[in-house]
Amino acid sequence: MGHWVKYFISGGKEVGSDSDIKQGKASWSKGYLTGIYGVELFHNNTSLSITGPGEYWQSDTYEMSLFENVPVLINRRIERKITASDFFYTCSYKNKIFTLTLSNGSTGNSAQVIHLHKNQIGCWLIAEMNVRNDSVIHYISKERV
Amino acid sequence: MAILITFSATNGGSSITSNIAHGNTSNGLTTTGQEIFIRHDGLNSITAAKLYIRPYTGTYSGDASANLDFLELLSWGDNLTLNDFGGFQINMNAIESYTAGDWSSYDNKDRTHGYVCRTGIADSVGNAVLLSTGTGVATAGVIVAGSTPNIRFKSRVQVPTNEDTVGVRLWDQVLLFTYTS
Repeated sequence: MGHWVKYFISGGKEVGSDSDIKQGKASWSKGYLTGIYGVELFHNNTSLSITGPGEYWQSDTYEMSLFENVPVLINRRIERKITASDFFYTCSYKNKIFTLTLSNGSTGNSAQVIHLHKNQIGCWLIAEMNVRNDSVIHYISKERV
Repeated sequence: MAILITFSATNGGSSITSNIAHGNTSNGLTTTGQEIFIRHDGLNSITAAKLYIRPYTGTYSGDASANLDFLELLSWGDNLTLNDFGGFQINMNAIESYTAGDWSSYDNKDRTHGYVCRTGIADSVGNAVLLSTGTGVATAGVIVAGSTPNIRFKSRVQVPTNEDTVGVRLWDQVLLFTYTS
């Protein structure tokens, strides 16, 4: 089981655990969606986070055989919209913006800086974990998943 | 998650709880298209809704093995000649009464609202095929909660003319989808 945490510029935070969501006590989309500074996502021993003020989204991918009627969770992700203000102007126009931190319980924490280009403004930076094997990846997509 | 997905054989009908039987057919013929309806009760729309097939994951009761059945089905779809072609075919053009032109053929496998499962097409999670607007969705892959009529598609099996092994084949058809609480 897992949970996500929204961190706000104001200093507050909002937590959505899987159990609370299942009971209708928490919801990503019905919670606060503005003023977010960063998001962390946890599932069993794996976690990932993206930090920096901006527009965020969280979603999960399931698969479901037609005869089973039980959705099975396979991927969880955080999505962050890339904006012009993400660029680090003291460097070039295609330099560092914000830090994407990917951590994996089996290999320890790792952090890396994602380099963006101007033509990626409006796209989404997506950090995703595979809950079956605890692997984590990141990629940039024109659309939210 | 707080969402209930329902597959049914009729619009708004009760949930399918057992294997879907495509019936028996002879070489060179196709089974009758089986219509499947999909609905959900989620707070938000389902996005990136796709279909794919995989080896059967239930208790196998066919005549070979789950993996061999799966590979054979893909090979039927891969075949390029009239007498060798067949396989598991999907027609998503529900809004136009499943036009014949949206079923695959050996020389035209990818239709506007249809395809045959084969190597690289609907054969894995990574190659799953998005639900087209023909299923009734306003945007490909996006299923709005409570949509009426339900999102729907048909599937059928074509047995190649040259197939020489009689027997029962089993496989899973899987809905892949993304959801936000």
